[in-house]
Amino acid sequence: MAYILTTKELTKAFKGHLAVDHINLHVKQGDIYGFLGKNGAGKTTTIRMLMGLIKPTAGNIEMFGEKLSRNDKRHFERIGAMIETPGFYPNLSAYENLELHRRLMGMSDRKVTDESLEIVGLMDVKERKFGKLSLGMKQRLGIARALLHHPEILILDEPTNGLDPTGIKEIRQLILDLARERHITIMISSHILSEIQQLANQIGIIHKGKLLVELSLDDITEKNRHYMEFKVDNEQKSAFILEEVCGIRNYRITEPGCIRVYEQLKNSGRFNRELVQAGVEVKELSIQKETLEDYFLKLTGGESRE
Amino acid sequence: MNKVLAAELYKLKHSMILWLIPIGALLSPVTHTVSALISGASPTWEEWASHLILFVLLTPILFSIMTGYVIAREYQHNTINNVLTYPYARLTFLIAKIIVVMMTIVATCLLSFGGSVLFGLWVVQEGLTTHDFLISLFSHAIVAALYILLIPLWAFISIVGKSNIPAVIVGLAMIPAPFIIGGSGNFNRVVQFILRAAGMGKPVNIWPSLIILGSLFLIFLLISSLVYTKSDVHSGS
Repeated sequence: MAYILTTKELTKAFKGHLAVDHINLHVKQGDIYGFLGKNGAGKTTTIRMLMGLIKPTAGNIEMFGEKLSRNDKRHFERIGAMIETPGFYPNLSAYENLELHRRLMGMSDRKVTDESLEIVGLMDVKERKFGKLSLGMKQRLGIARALLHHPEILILDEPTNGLDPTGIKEIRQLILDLARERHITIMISSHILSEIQQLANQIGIIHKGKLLVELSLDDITEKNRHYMEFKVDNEQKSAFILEEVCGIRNYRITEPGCIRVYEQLKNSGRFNRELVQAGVEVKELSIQKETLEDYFLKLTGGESRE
Repeated sequence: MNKVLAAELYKLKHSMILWLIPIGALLSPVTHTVSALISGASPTWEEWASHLILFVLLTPILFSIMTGYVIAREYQHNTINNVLTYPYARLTFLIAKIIVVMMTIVATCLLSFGGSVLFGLWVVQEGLTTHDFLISLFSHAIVAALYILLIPLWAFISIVGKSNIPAVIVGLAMIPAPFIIGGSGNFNRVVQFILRAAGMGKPVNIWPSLIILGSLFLIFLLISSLVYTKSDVHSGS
């Protein structure tokens, strides 16, 4: 599948400190790409570079198959973005703020303004001044603005920041609906793992400016599944027994003396017996669940925030 | 450019700052009219023209507030993230903003001129000659030109300060700016210089003043453009 957005060795240094360190992002068309990282990991700096607000120190960005130049801003017609807190004019109403955006984007059809407000559920408060809107409404207005000109890719930087659980749920549902119904590619950044996990089918984990890994939906599923783990004295012999005698195909030697089996978890007793009968010393047998959070913590070496 | 300019005008149209135009423009003729009515004075058109002094005193603050508002509020309201991600060059936005401020300065000076003539017709006893009319028009045009040439300076301060307060502070400090063209610390003389440049009394050479202010305009326009187009926009900036 074609990539709609890629970066090559994208780097930003501030006074010698690498805020973004040679990252290579790959966002496929139709993806909901979760850009996950702790606060200060480099997510916003990366997004600001994608949006031309910060000039990269090195590397380049390709969008829609074209290498971006800072002076050529035509591609912004195809991008909708909300960067951190949505910025609007407090003296203008929700409708007027979007009208301003419609005019600047050269959309002749006035109906798109109401349509956007309808999508995010703000029609009832369209005449209310931006300054009088609640935080959740402001965030939704930010998404309405990002959507108004029918972009091909939506870049949302921490869209649920500061929202209560109900607001977070609403925004999450909205994002899922947009991806499902409008087939918009979405890149969403967050420091909340559970949020990304519920939305994304592709995840990029950034830590201290480095993109540690990009995971596909299959990888994510893999990271969230149950398995049985054998601690044995001979992993090669154990693998042979499991494969030839027990008929196991889905297993992995994760480290010397450790085998993880991902199938037939109910037959753990039989597998244990077969191994013992074959002369393998089984030191430990356990059923475990690997979570994405465990993986994230292992990668970043710290605590995540749920 | 048209869409960006229209958007800037749309923002201005919906803001309270627009009230500064009639307030700034009419304060001087209204004050002088009230003063003349209370004192029972009956000024000539030549004497009436000197009420320009209050306008010249007020306008640096007024126009610096406007420039600061049009440019710096994008940083204060965090709308700069939106503005600079539209499919237009950054310079287009800066030029559009400068044009909008120019338009407010011209509107203020035109309204002040209109107010000056209308209130003058009420207060001044002698008839309005074409010569008096043109002096009033040209003197207001000179004030407009003077402050238009200072817009890039206020713009630069607003961009660097990312707030309208530094521009206003500089606006206050700019009150003596007419000294540059008047060559005097006496405000009355400055106003006399403007009126003479507009055709009242002995002619004066306005070129040195125009060259100084024109140079300021070009230098700060260049610096402002470079800073606006090249600088990174970070969180909270």
